[in-house]
Parts: sequence; C-alpha cells; structure tokens
Amino acid sequence: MTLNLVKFEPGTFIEITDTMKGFRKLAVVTDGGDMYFDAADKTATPFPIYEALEPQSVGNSLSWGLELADKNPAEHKQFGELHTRLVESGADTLTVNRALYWAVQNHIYDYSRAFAAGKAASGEVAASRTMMDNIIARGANA
Amino acid sequence: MDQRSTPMQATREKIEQGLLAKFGEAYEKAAEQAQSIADPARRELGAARIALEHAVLQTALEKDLPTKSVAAMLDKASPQQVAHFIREGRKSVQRTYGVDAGAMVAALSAQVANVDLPRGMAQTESMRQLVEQGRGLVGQAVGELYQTRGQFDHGGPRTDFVTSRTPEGALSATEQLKNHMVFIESAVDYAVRSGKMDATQGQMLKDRIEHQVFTTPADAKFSPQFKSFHDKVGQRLKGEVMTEARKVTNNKTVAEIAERLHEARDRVQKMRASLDRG
Repeated sequence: MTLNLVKFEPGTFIEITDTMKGFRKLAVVTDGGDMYFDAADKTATPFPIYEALEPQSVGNSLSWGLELADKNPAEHKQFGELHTRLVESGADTLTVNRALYWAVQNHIYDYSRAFAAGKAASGEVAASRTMMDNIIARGANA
Repeated sequence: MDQRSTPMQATREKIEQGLLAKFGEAYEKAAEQAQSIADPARRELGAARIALEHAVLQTALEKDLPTKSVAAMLDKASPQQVAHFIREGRKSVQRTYGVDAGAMVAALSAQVANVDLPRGMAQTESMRQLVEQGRGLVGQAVGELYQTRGQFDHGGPRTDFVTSRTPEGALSATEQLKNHMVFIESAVDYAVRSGKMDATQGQMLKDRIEHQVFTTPADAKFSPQFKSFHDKVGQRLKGEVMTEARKVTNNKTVAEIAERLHEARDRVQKMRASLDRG
C-alpha cells in the first residue's frame, strides 16, 4: 500500500476507507478523476484518492438501475420509484446515492429504511469530519 | 401520426410552465457555490484537512497501524503536538509529490476553485442534483424499453400493420428527461447571454452535464445481450432527447419568456441587495 494517487472515472462513485474512523464510505469522484467529495455541504473539501485507502469503483445510480433492468426487472421498477422519491426529498446527492446503494446491496427498496440508511452513512462521514476539524482547530491554537 | 405522442402545443405549454416555476434557480445556486469555493478561509481549511489526512496516512503506513488508531491518538494529543503533526503533513506532501507543499496543498484542496467557472460549476451540489435527476430518468426510460423489447402493437382489425410497442413509463420518462434537459440548456444559455460566462464555457458546461447524465460507467456489469441493447438504444435516446430539447431551447418564444423571467429575477435580486445595504 502506498500514498500513490489512483484515478477513477469522473462523476462515478467509489467506496473508500475513512482515514479518521476507519469505516468504508461512498464518495463521488471529481472531474480530475484523482480526488473525491464525501460531503455535499458548502465547506466540503475534495480529498486525494490514495491507494492506501483501498478505493473501489462502485458505479453510480445509472449503472445500478440498468444492472437491475438487465438482471432483475422487478427490482428495477422498485429502484426507479425509490430513486424518484429520494431525489424529490431534497436530500443531497451523496445521501441519495448512499441510500440507493444500500437498497441495491440489501435488495430492500423501502423508502424510509433506505433513506434512514443513507442519512446514517452521511452522518458517519460528518462525525469523522467534525473529529478532523476539531483536531485542526486545536492545532491552530498552539 | 403516433397517437401517443404529445401534441407540440401541449409540450410547449408544459415546458413553459416548468420554466415559469423554477427556471434558472439551480443555475444561480450553483454559481454562488462555485464562487464560494474561492473563499480564502475555506481554502485554508481544505489545505489543513489534506495535510492532516496525509500525515495520518503516512504515520499509519510507517508504523503499520490502522489509520483510525493514529487519528484516535491525535485526538488526545496536545495543541502543540497537533500543530507539529500538521506541519509534518505539509512537509510529507512536499516529499511525496516533489513540489512546494503549500502550492501542492492549495492545488489539491482548491482544484475546483482554481479552474474556470464551468468546471467549478459542474462540481457543485446543485449541478450534481440536476445530473442525478437526469440519470434517474435515463435509467427508467432505458430499463422499460428493455423490458418490452420485441413486443408489438397491432394496428387494429382492419389492418395488418404492427408497430413496435413503447411502454407508457418510457414515454413519460423520456418526456420528463427532455424537459429536464431543456431546463438545463436554457439556464446555461441565459448565463451566456447575460455575460456570466462566454459561449465556449457555456458549451463546455452543457457537454459536461449531458455526458454525466447519459453516460453509464465503463465498468457497469451488463450481460452481453443488455449491453448490445443499451449501446444502441441508449445512444438513440440521447440523440432524440437532445435534438428535441435543442429545438425547444432554440424556439424564439421560449427564449423570450426565459429572458423576461431572468431579467425580472435579476431586478428583484438587485432590489433586495440595495435594501439589505440600506
């Protein structure tokens, strides 16, 4: 494992280890291909995609939906309905995609459960970022 | 004429109503976000985050520890130790990439801020929301077309004609997708006409969004049969939707309505700003 940067297809999602807390998180690849966003707020920072964090490509909502259309038509329909409801909820795109990814992995397309899972995943990222920012703030006071 | 196709007038009215309801809002929000990325405090915070992450990773690799263990230790360290750690992180960035650490950190953290507006715009959450909505509609249209492939409707008892069957869900998703792309293209066109970006930048932004909405990731796991269908139908859908969308976007009446709406919005915003200052 190295600190080399790894490139992915812009606009797709990757699963990558969170440095501060060690969990796996879903993040969106930026236009340059070697950085990612894991939060959608105005202060979000694009982070480098280090090989050491074991990034893996997981596609995006278009490929998840079409893979279901190919192999599981019944789930494709449920996925489409869930996608529409999540987008209409006004949630940020990272939470929407985390909810959708959870649904696809668990074959559960219940809106409340998927949305709760998406929000929990985004909350985990926010907690990690708070930890990071608190450490930085302490260092700034030295 | 296909009885299921929406008459042109009704389509135009629907599009105009859509424009009246929300035209340009997403674009304006995205422009604000793109500009806020250049905020110096925000860039400094980004640089510190990247330096800290780099130092944690470097230490974890050197000491063969999980990164979260290093982070947990750091969480309990003194302010002086933390400050030293972040400084080391900046140096480590310099060693790893062979360039001035400050410049590297700034370049990494502010990659989206140091580039031209359309590139920064495409990275904003507002633009990602527009892309996400479009992807959902593309997925619905292609998926439903695949389910009914090879099915035909008979023209009636007095004819031998058969036509390929297009499911209602696919028709509806295609129609919504067309309106959605009209909305995006019109917003960018207005930005160009009002001098917020030049024509080349506007075209780049449109291309970027269009690519992200319609392009399936290269490593999608499709069966050979689906892949062949998707390669053909996906391209055709994109061609049809974008041709239709541009017809509407280039329509003089729609452009004039959009123009008036934007001018009205600009006037209201200027008025609010002057009231806020007062």
